[in-house]
Amino acid sequence: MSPKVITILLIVASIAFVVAGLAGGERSFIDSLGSYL
Amino acid sequence: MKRRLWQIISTVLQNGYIPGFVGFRLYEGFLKGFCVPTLNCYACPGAFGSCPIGVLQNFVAQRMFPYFVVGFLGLVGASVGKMTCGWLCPFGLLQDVLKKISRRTVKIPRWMGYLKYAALVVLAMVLPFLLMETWYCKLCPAGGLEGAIPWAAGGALGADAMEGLALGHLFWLKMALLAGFILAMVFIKRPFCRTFCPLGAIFSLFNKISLVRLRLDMKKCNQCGLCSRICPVDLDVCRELDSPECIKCLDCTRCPTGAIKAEFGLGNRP
Repeated sequence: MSPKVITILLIVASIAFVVAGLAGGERSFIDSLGSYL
Repeated sequence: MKRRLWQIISTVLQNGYIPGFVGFRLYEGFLKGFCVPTLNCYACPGAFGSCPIGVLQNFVAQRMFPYFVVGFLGLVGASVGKMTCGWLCPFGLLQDVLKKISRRTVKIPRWMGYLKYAALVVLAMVLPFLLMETWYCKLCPAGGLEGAIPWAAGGALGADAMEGLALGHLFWLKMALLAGFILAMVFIKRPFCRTFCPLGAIFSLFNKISLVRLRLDMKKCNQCGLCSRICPVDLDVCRELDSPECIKCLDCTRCPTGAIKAEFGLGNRP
């Protein structure tokens, strides 16, 4: 697989992970971290 | 100079919550739910965003898969590789500035570069998973400077701060590590980035395939060695373009013959 294809696939997969995390409500978990450090 | 300005602006933007320093309370607004692309402690009183390594550990400690952080790190890494280390990281700025104190430079052995991968796997992933605690945070020198010291100072000043947490049983070990790294920063180029930063370890995996890349035109190179002398991570630039250690600061593109250039995009790749 060429570097160009790997880069494109990585970017697409990363965007999918970000969207999945946001849809799963991870932002509120991250938001809560600072309060109990 | 242009890069230094970026570093200063980034440091201020990431840690510019003034009420945090004045009233010793953490920012807990909308932005705290997102990660910054650098190792910047979310317990810093001025921090607007969250440290991706801290967040990663918290997810692992809770035995949850961190989709958002993995995606975020993949996106940053695939786009710019370790460029955020060179241009945006506040702890990177500290290292660059402290290195100016001494003209004497001590080189560290290449194998020490692998220590950061050990820090990533052992302290930021395996121990948090097994012991359900954020072990890298407990030892993080950047967190010590940005988080623990301000809170300890706040407690000493009588503020209603989280002094007890800041002065946990590993506080002095963290301070010793911080002091050791600060001393090393005077004589060694970016010692923390090269040996102990787990975020740099993650981004380094993307350096060869990121959209930001360096190109060397051997026809223009006259082997003057300026690029290697000014490299902030001691690389033999002509032989190690886009190496995992490269922080893509682009200082080497100041080549007097124009032999080294930066490219952005998928460009001339196979």
